[in-house]
Amino acid sequence: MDKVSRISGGQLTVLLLAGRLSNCLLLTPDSIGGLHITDRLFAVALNAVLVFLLFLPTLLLLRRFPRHGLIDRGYAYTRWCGRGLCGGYMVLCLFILCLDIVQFYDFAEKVMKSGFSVPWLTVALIAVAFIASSYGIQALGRAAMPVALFSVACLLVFSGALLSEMRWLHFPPLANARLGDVVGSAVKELPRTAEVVAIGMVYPYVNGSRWRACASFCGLTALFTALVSATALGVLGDFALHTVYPYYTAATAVQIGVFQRMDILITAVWLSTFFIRLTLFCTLFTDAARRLFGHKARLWSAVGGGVLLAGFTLWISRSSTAHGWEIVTAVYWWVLGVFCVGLPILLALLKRRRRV
Amino acid sequence: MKRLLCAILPFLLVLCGCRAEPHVGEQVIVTGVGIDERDGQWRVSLQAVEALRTTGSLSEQSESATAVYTAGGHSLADALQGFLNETGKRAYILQNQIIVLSLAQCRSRPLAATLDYFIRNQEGRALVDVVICRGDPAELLDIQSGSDAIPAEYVSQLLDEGGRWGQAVTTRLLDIERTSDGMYDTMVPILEVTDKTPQLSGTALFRDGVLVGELNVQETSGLLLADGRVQRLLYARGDTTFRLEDIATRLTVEPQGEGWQYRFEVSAVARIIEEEKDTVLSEEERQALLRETEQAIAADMEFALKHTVLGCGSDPLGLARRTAAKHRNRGVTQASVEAVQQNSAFTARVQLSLTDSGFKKK
Repeated sequence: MDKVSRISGGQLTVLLLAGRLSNCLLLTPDSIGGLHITDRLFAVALNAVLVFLLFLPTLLLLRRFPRHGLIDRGYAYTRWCGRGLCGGYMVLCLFILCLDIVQFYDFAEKVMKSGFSVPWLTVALIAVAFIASSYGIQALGRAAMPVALFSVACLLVFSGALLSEMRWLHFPPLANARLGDVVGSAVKELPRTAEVVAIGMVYPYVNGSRWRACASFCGLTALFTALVSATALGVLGDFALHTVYPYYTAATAVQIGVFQRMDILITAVWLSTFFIRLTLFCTLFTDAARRLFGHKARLWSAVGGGVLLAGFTLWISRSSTAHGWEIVTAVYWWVLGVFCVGLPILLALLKRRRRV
Repeated sequence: MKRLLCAILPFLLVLCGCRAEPHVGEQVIVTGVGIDERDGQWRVSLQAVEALRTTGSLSEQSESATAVYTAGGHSLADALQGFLNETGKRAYILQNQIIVLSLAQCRSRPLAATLDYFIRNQEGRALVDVVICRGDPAELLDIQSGSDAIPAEYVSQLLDEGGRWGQAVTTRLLDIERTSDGMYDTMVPILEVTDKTPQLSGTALFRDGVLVGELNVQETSGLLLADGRVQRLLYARGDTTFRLEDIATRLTVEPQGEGWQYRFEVSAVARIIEEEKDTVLSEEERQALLRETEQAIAADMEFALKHTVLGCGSDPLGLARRTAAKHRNRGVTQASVEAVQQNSAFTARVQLSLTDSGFKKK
């Protein structure tokens, strides 16, 4: 990725949104947090505000340096600081990719059940994502547009088709839960929004208003998360809390004319949005590697990252436990704290020492 | 170009394509499944499309294009495995349209336990119809229909029409999955086969998946009217038959003594579709007949509600959940309503407005 290839603010919104939709479609009972639909809608709106607040420190720091990312700001202080940030972002991207692929592994094993080898598919997916990342962020931004449009169209059609399966009885009255539960659910969802840490690296490659792009991303994410939640819970009611992937379960009931079992379409939408998300973080990983090791080492760092990712992901997928996920969530909180709040504030306080 | 090929190659390695899929001759395409229990053993009947019996499209068949196979085992999965062992063919259930349970099966085992195989199996459809047969489920799967080559389709249409006209509930696998969580109880339509012809015979009521009672067809209409699920309803009073349309139901619930008072108000447009008398009814006579009809429908509704909720302890309309939703400010919960459900009272009021049929007898 070089700074000549740039994306517009709109493309940034769509790129982040497409990636976020993949998480949104894999709505889990854990993310619903035992809330009923109306309370869930409050939680989603609150989550959007919190996500935007997490964008703020980076946006405020970088607004004076439109062609700098956080890594550039690190290099502006000292070379070692910049290198440290490159290494940090590489680990961070691998961490996010690892969690995403573990979720993919789980979905492929529990839901897709198509007879193919899930470990091989996982390895293939990682390889393809790294290869796709070599095309740069501009290509990714362009690819995200049709994927996002297709996904949104599918979500709207599915929700329309499932209207007949929704019953008022499944919708309890507004504000049924305590305020604490709603806030808890909104906060619990935060670690799933890995896009907030990407903005520190993507920033210099964006033309136009990044503020508007981030605000649109938060708004649209809230809108589609609410739509997915309302559809899943409207169709399944309390039963949604006892299914592995409620939206997918609800989608199995879609019937449009003679067409049935259209959950395959949701799988396709999810895979395509997931691929965009995966490629985005692979792109950021290889970009950080390029900054650290130089342009020539880019290929080998991608291969090394891919091998490391595949090995680690397969190991975790086969041995993950509930306790392990608690640790991962705690780590995610630290990541958000460090990369979204701590780092921008620290870099704002440090005095610029050298020209980059 | 090289990079593109590199991107495609890894996927080609893992794609299995059609190699591992069974040949069409190695499986039977199941269109209906019957589940019965005899002497502690499961007996599964499979209605399957006979590929060799069909010529051209299924819509061109003059007789049933299906055959019924039976297999036994100590569970549903075991019975299906037994079928595979006997015939060498795998049961392909994606095209399944109906699951038929015997009354004996429903009495001996909770509904969710009986259907667990289908609930877990992602190969099947969530909208497959579930019915109960008074006799042997295999009989219902083996009916002959002149209009449909696949009997399961015929039964499915019968249930759909029955649902539209308030004669039968329509229950799908998804409904049973949803009710497993206690939001409301399940009702399943009952059919019986007379001279190889299926007929709607009422509704089975469940409480927490256990069969607790039955309603006949008329009582089913009353219950469906209370639930607001009926689109049209035929109602005969004396020599006159009305067709009720634009049916709307409103429920109000208030605390009464130790229980709750449920008031159902139904409004509908009544159209006279048949008068067997030669003499023409005067306007007063018609209005009097209409009031009688209103009272009769209200009585049917009240009877169905009392029999279902108070008599059988079943709550298929989710009254406890609705009550909790409406009175949550008073700290009412679904569990607290269910605890005093037996002290509840039900009243129904029906308001019909007569519309001109566009025809006047001389």
